[in-house]
Amino acid sequence: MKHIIRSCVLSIIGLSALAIFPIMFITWLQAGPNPDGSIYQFFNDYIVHKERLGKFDIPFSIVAKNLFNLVTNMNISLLVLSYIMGLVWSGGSHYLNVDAPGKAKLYFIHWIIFTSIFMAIVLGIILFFTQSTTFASARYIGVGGTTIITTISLIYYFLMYYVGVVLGTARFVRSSVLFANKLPVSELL
Amino acid sequence: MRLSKKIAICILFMSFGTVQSEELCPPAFPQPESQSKSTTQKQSGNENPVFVYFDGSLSMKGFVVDRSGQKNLYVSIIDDLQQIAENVGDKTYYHKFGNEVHAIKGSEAAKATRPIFYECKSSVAECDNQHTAIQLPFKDAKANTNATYIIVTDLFLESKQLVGSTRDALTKPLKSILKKGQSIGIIGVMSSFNGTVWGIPTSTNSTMPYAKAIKRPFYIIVIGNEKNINTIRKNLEEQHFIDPGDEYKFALITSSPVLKNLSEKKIITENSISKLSNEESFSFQYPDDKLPVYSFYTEKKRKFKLKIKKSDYIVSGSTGLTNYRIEENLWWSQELKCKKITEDSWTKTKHETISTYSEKENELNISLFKKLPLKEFFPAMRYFYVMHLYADEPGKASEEIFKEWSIAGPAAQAYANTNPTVFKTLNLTKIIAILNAVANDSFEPTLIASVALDFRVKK
Repeated sequence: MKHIIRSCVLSIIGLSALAIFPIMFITWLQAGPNPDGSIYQFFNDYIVHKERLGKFDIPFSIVAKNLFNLVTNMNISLLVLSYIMGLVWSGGSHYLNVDAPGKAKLYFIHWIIFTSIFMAIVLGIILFFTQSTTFASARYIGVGGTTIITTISLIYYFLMYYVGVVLGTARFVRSSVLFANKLPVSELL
Repeated sequence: MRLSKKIAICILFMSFGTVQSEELCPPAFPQPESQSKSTTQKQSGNENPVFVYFDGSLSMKGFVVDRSGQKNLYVSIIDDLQQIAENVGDKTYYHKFGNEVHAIKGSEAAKATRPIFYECKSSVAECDNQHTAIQLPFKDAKANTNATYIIVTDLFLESKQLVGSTRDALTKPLKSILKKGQSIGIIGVMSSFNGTVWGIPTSTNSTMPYAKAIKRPFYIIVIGNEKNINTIRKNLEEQHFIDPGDEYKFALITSSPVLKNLSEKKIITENSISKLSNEESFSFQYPDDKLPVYSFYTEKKRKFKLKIKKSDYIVSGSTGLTNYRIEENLWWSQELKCKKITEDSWTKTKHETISTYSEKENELNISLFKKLPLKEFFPAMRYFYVMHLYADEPGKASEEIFKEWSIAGPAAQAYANTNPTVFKTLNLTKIIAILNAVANDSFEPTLIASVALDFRVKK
């Protein structure tokens, strides 16, 4: 149990290191971004369906708030998911009893399945927010915008999850699967 | 108990109020550029004379000589013409025309059913029965717009009469007639014929006669208001075109083939757009007596079609319409409730084409939102769409109607050489085309219908 708690704490540290940026981003979105700022312009230029909005003569300022709320909710969901999945793996992988390099393959198979599930859920959440009819403001996002949001979210939240998992499981893995054995902290665990 | 009953009644009334009168708060939309013209002209003054013109050319003589086994519609119709003329006017004046127009008395007009009317005892040079100057009665018709002009002719016009100054002499008065709101009805009747058709052009620039025809069409051209033209047509149909073998054709040349504005006459109903009444929060009303407004809350996958019967707006027997124009505007508002919507709440979109039309034989279909499907709309907004449907170009239906009775000038000799028993009319489609062209010149885009949609689209 001690090892599990230790893994979870380390995992939280890893996850939180990368969660700072989404949290800052969410705070910034909710605070009301400066219309002249670069992120506001980025949304205007690349995320929304500019041509469609233009045809309807709908200014971005009108849709911005709803769109930012959508992105906020999506990021909160992804953050929560990353934390849960990272911690579940960090804690749960102890029960795989991987205590020798020869068992790395077994570890890898489990890890890749679990990570695939995580990525699938991440993709599902992104599509739920950007493509489903649940959120009215999703209709403002263009094809380019969806691609950008999907790509960035998949990469960033995988990275966050990966860092959390690597830190949380470094003690137990002596394989090159997660490169955890290369971490300086692995000796301390 | 009493109090609760009152409250219940009150709630019931309030709920009825909400359901039955969907609140409207439309944007200030542009009014249609022109309103439909009234097709019924007012008669100024008491006089409503009828002028009857008989073509006195020699080719007409064959119509009054009976041929056994063939029905002579010419004689029976001309006999009845005085009666028909009295049905549409107060007084009837008769004329005979060839190269010139001569006023004739009623007693002389009665002879139009006898060969003597078309014969001339003098020399060919002195006789006025060699040529049909059809432009002359048209010129007369220009003078009095209250009158009805009936021209009885075989419309056998040489090609040279349909070009240059002679053509101008024909088209100028017609233009004036049509611009004044008058129409031209052409009733073609196939009748027995026992005589000679003169003036058939040959390849050597001369003319040849033809005497083997047993049937030939003659024409009653009626110039006047549509009401009188239709009265004459109806009289003829009821009294003369009774037998199954009777052949007749009718075309109406008019500068305003649009019968009425369907919105103003409230012909556009809630069922004109099929299945729309099944939509959530549907209501239909004529708030200003001119513009039907459909209100609804719909799914983004829905497609709607406005179906209009052509007979509802096209003048029967007229050239019809070949081209339509849709003038449309779309507005959106962030505010959904009327109490919060002001004039500034509405923003006009930049869409140029939203709906399209397609034609069927008897129907005009407007595919609403065909170019801008509802899935492109943003939810959580209120939309107001106004569409004006205009007739943009008159049709050429009358040319098609008379096509089978027409023979072109260059083909006339070859046609005559085939010894036809039914002889066609020279250059008939050309004459009809000229009439149509004049009508097209006088035509102005006419509003057929206006429709407004006040709606929201679901997520």
